[in-house]
Amino acid sequence: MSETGRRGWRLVVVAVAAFVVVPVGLVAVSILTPTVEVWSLLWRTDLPDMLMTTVGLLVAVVCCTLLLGAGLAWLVGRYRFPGQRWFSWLLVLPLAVPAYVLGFVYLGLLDYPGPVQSALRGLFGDDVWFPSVRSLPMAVVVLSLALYPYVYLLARAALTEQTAATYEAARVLGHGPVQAARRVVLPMARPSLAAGAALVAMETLTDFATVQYFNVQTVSVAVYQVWNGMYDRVAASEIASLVLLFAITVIGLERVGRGRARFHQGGGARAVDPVQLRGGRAWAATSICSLVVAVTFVIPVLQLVAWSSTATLLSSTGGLDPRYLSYLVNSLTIAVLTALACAAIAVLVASATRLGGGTSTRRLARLATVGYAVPGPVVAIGVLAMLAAVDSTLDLVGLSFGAVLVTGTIVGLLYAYVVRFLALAYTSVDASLEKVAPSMTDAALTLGASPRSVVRRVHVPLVRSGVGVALVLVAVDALKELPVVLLLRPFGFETLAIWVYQLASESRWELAGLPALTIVAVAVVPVVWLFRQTLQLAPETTRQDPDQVPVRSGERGQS
Amino acid sequence: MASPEPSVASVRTPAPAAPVLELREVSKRFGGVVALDSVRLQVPAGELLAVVGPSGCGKSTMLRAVAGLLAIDAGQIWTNGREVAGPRTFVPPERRDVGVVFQDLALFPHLDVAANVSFGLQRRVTARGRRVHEVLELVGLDGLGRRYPHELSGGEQQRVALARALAPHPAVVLLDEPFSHLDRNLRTLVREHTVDVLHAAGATGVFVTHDQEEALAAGDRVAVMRAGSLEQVAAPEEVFHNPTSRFVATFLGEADFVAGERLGDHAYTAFGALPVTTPGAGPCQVMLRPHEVTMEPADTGSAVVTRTEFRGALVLHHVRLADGSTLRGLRPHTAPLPVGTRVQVRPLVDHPLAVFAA
Repeated sequence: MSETGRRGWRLVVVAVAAFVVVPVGLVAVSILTPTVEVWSLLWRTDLPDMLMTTVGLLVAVVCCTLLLGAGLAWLVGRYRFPGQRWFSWLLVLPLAVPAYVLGFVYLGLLDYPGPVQSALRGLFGDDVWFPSVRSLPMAVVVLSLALYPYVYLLARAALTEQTAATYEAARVLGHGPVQAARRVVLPMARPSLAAGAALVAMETLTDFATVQYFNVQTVSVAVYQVWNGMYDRVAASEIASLVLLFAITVIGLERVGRGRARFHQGGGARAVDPVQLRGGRAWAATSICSLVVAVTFVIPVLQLVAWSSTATLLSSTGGLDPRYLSYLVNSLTIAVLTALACAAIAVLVASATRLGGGTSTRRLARLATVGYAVPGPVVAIGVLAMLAAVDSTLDLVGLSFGAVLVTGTIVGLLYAYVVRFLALAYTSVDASLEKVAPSMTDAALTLGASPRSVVRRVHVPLVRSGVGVALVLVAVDALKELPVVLLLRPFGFETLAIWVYQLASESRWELAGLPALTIVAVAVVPVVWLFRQTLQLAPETTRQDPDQVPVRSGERGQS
Repeated sequence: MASPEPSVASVRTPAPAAPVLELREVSKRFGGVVALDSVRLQVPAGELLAVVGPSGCGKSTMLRAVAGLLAIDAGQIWTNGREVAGPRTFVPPERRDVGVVFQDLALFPHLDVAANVSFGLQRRVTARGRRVHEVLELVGLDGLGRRYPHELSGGEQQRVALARALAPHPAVVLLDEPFSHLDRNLRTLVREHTVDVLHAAGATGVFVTHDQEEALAAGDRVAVMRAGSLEQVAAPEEVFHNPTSRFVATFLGEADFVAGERLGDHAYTAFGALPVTTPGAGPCQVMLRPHEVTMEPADTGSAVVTRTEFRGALVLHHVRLADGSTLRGLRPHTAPLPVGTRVQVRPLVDHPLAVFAA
């Protein structure tokens, strides 16, 4: 790229990176000035318990998702059984059901007044034993079922990338299938499994809504309680720094888990031929996959449909709850605004790294995407701290709005969303721009177009598809996001996600059905999209010889 | 950029005193690698300069430095009497007044031909339209303005890239290996066309290539580059027949060297006295190209044919001389000699030969 150095464009990247990093930094430094009362109170009450619970939850969820995700990926990737091709993407569907939705569905189903326990009581009498539903193990089960697709997706990709040659080499060297898997396949998949586990851990740390259904008190829950109950920003910030500490530990462990291994195998090589399962084994495999899809997607969706139709039929007004539409509009507004902001900033940063040149600019751009790896509560509290600082600065110069910026507008919410979702937008826009040859930018410049006009006339039209993907991914994620919006919403501002959470907390399952169903319906879009992409890719990965693919003469145009 | 637009058929104006493009002691390094080493170069108006050298010699770096796509470490670059790069100057590419035809052409895939060509033009609609039409006519693509790049053949895409670079009347047109993506047959055709268009437009051009034939055929002058510095800049005939270094001699065509003793303007070799270009004294190496070497079968001959290579109309013969050295000579395809034939070798000398001190 041109190494001519355009300071203005480098400044853009610096500004965006600062915009993202400063809130996180504010939380990090808050621990340097601890408030004694906060910590002594915490220590005396429940800090040790809280830390133990957080560690226990993280470890248990990571272990369960690794088992479930990697096991299913292995089953679907290495064996052929009835429905295997369908399950390979159906197993991703739980990504569309947020944990806070899955959580309340199972709470509703399994709680004392729910259908399961009622049925059991009907069969065996009133004193039938049932495990406690509002408990840590239940939270682990729900979070694992909601989050295993992260591990599954990465593990499946790792298995597909592994070429047959390494596996066959191990077999020829005298290893049986199981031994070859243990000594070659699993070690080679380790980086992907570590990355998947880290993602799961981050999502678990971010969540303080689902765990509250189950009366599980984690550090993130404490952040929420301190801010929501006492509006004590300092204390919230200091507890959030604990969450940050957990996140940093997770990232450190991921590095360790990945080891020094950098396993990359050239694409296009032949994948390992799946083993055909027969008879009972085949049906066992199909049943396991069906069970997982049923428990994580089909049953929850059916239950939500049931609840929302009951609620609509029983409602006093004889129709839709009027709040539904206005909350939906709020949700959509915030999702669209976030998506637009993220896509615009992503285009700007991606273009700036090209126009500003230099490795330092690239490194800064990567810094601008750290928000995705920072737990939601940390981002939210950091943004609060930053807006409070801006507010008080405005007070100083005589422009007093009170605490309007902090609690009165959606500015803070948008800010936190951009910090959190920028990475999502940047990745797809940058991947798109990578496909635009650098000479394209150079050509436009030498033809006299200013850098700004290069972005407008060349980059933007050519990365349109990447921008489209970015818009959809960010909008969907923003729509189903809960922790950040719970912490940062302006007073009286409700979204579908908040409404679901509140109704679920009050055990009003029927009313929560429709908004939850709406969220799931929207969240299914990118999952199906992902599925269509893998379907389009599938013939290429299984194809053995490119020359066997017939090419119609008309398709070979002159390059 | 003269404001009255020169018509397509305008006669090439005589070169003014100041060169259109000048590089003064330009240096550039990438880490420890010297890409440009005190390069000095002047390109007068209307000239098409071919820069040729092996890959990695720095020729593309030079082009990018002139275009402003790369900052230089030392020296100055001047275009049209204006310093565009120097110790305290850096004019960005969009204000350099250079046109570039990129190796991969870099046509904008989302714009049609007319929009590609008008990309660099100012926004006066009628004048724009006229210029687009004019340039497309110049490159022989009038009527294809509404097509998109992917709907064109390789040769046509090449012409669009040229038209796009020429449209804003740049001071210099830079062409970076512009024909390398075309297959051999098409390449010659497109190259001839490009040279004609550049001359018809009266453009000053620098084109970079690693193909010596291309450089010799297309360049008004040829600059031979090696490891970041220019070894020789001269007319094609001059660099071919009178190379200043053995590198230039061998890079621009097949060349063999005969040992001799130089005395005045002749060198005394196994073939007798041969006229040389530079007088001197002492041991020397005289350059002989295959077309300057003749051979006749002779049982008493001291040389033996060791290898033949069919070249179409001519056949290249490798012969081993009595002293063990090798020469190459051409014979018509109607009279090839089989390997092992004893031959009498004679240089065919009608001009002084290039000579290097041994």
